[in-house]
Amino acid sequence: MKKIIIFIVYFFAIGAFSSAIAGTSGNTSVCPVMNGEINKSISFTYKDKDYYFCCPVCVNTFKANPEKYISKIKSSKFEAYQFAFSPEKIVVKKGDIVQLSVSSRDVPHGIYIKEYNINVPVRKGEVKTIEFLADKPGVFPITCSVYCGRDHSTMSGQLIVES
Amino acid sequence: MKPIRFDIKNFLIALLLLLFIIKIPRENIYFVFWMLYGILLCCSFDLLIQKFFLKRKLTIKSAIITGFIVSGIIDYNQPWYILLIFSLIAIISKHLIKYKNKHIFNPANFGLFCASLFGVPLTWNIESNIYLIILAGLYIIYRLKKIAHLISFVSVFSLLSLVWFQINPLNLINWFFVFVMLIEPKTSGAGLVKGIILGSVSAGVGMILFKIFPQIDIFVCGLVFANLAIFLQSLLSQAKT
Repeated sequence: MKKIIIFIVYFFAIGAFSSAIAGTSGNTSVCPVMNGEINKSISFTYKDKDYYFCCPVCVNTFKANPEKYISKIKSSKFEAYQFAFSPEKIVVKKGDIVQLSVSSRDVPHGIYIKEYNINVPVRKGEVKTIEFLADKPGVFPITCSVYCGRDHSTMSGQLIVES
Repeated sequence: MKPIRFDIKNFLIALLLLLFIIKIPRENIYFVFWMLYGILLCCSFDLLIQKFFLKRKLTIKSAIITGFIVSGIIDYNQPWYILLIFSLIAIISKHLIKYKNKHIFNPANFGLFCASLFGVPLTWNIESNIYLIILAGLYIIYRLKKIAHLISFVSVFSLLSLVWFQINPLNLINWFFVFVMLIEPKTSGAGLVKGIILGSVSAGVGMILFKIFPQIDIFVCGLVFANLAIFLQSLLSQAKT
């Protein structure tokens, strides 16, 4: 009996920890110059907007030709609702840095793009930013990872990365 | 050849098979392989455990049901080992986490709960026709005498959806879960009191999770807590007597 209780408590503790980790995937930001992971302490403001970089060298490279690097950043809104996504397709070019401001119109949904290891839950009223480097060309399905009702399994969108 | 006897497990297998067949035209061929692979895995694991560890008469129906549920709910675009791991967890939980020869957790649900905790998306592909599920489910509920479980779950779920989230519960409720998974005979308990406990704990915990942890599947997680509550209630009743 004791063993069962210890097992259950232990299991729930591991589960809570792992789910906390799993829920954070897909929120890393990308350096516009080297495409590495950003360091929040290294930034530069250009046209009233803050840009973050992986190292001080990238700041200088960016300053030399900011428009070149800004043009690689593709920002768009992406909304989930019962039982579709808007827009249905996101089209970017290989090498672009994709910034999606994701939201939900009704119940909680999960933005899931397996090939890019993105799984971000979003509730009604929230806006979350998903940022990633589109480094793999192809057509990738976007599905909902949080059960959202009767036609949950039919929710689908597409990320198209052109080479 | 022995004729197939009509019992509730056969009926459930037939229902799951029909739901699977209905879904095939809407999915790709990989979905078919994924489902067959899941059923095969669960049956193989269960038979191996029964033969080599428990040394008892081999039965396969429960494993087929578990296989249908686990593979029909986990996203079939996942790598093959994901299904292997969580099918194995489902079957092992049936034989390992038990008290007085009865498993505590619904095996398929426990496997899915673990998958959900580890961030594996549950797409519920098997829920292909809710009208068929409701119709067949009502018959299963009647045969298993689980009406209290159904009413308490639906009531608490509807009440919390409306009051707490202002969501039409009919747009959110998962009928496959209600009619197939919630009322698993060995873990859902019998009678009015256990029915009320199971239904209300499952719906209540699910809705709390819906608020704070939407990335975890609210139905499977709620049922794990409800199975635990039924187990604890049984222990308390035994201690009193």
